[in-house]
Amino acid sequence: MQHISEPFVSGESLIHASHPGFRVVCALLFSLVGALVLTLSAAIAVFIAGLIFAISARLPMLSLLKRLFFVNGFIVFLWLFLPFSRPGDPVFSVGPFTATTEGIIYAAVITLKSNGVVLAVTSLLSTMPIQLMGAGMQSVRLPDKLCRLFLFTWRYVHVMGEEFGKMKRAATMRGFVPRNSIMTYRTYAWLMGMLLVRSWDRAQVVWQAMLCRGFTGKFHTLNSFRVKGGDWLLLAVTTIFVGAIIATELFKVEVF
Amino acid sequence: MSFPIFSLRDINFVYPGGNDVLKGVNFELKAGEKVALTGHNGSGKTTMLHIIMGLLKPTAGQVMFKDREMKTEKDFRELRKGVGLLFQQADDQLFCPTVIEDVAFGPLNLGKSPDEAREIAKYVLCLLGLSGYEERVAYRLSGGEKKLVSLATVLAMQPEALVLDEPTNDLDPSMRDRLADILCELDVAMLVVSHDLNFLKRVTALEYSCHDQAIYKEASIFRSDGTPSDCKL
Ligand SMILES: Nc1ncnc2c1ncn2[C@@H]1O[C@H](COP(=O)(O)OP(=O)(O)O)[C@@H](O)[C@H]1O
Ligand SMILES: [Mg+2]
Repeated sequence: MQHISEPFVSGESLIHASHPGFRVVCALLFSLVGALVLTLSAAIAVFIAGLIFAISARLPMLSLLKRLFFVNGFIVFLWLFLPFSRPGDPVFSVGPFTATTEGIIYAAVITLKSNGVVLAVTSLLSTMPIQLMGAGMQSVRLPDKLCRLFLFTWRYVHVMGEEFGKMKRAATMRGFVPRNSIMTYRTYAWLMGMLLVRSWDRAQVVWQAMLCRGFTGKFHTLNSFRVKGGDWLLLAVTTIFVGAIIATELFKVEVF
Repeated sequence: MSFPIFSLRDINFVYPGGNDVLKGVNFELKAGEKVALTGHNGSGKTTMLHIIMGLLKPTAGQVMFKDREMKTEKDFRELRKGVGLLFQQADDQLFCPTVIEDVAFGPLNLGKSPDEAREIAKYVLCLLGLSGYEERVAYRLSGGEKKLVSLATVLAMQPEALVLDEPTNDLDPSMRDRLADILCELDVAMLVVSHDLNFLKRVTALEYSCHDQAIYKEASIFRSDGTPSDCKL
């Protein structure tokens, strides 16, 4: 059976043990600031802070590299275009296109800050099971609708994954081999169409099952959280990181 | 006079763009009754159960819970506290990461504290012989185990009546026997949809069948005094 794996959840660290609500706040704060920085030095700061989070969460190296690999898969494409997209000091040319220092720095900023934010968010959020995250979001008074939307998205992505697995197996059982043919594309189109219909139906049933068990829109959880010293420490450290990043950005600290 | 736990009065139902599924259905379940509902595939049994729970709205007729007519979603919330439905597809009934969280979901919604909810969940799991499953991941269980856990999630609501939609599907014979034992022991009213006559003989006392868009009482293999043939109420 297909399922969404949560490779970072089981682990022991200060971050794993801290309050889900605090972690959600820290992640929001950090990713907001991290996403907005424009200077190279601030981007480096974001990346370093992300690394520190990852190290203190003791994330399993292999899974982490895999996740970063996917993120950077997209970023590779940016490197094909961005270096040539800015006016400035020419570095080298390919045909009519000239790469500039400014362009390269711009691409580097994006690379560093996305990796930094992914590291931080992975350390803070992926280290808890999704249910805790829902409870965490509720405990810091994020709107109920948002929390519900989030939890259902997770549950339904799951449903879609399962349905897709089932149909793919059914097709394989009957000798379907993907080829570059009309038949293949038609089969895929059917699969996709059925996927939507069936996922919709099953999502409906999950919703009904929740209603039958007294669900009224609020998620409760078995775990009651107490705020501990470590939680404030986490918040303090994150605030310091964020403060440092903003300072670096505003005062245009030069790295080179 | 004592009211049935729930009853259907002159229920009609049509799926949008489909044919009539139910027409003039009357049915009631009294406290302590154990009723079987049989009928061909597609005869409308699941549809009827979903109407009882307020998951489908009948095109005509009334759903009553005790002495009150259920009209709005809020009314049905009351009904769902007293009547528990075990879905035909057990998979869809489980949506929390671990078994214990799933079983405690209902009690928490009913306003129990986390500690009480955990206690209830543990008790029910123990009742179903599922002690030790608490921290198991719900979606990685086998079909039969999922069915039992789904039953646990329903029992944890401590309902007065159980509505079971084909509970023995994908259970092996020994699991089926265990389920029959468990259901015989339970002191709640039951409406059991199944094609498994031996199972029904053990668990239920009255038989109704669903055909020609309506529900009929059967004079059947079951004993007539209202108790199941093989076990005491
Ligand atoms: N969502 C739906 N939309 C339209 N028709 C449906 C839907 N669900 C079931 N039906 C039809 O309603 C009839 C009764 O279905 P159901 O209540 O599931 O039967 P049973 O549970 O007795 O096997 C069937 O003919 C089925 O095709
Ligand atoms: Mg059915």
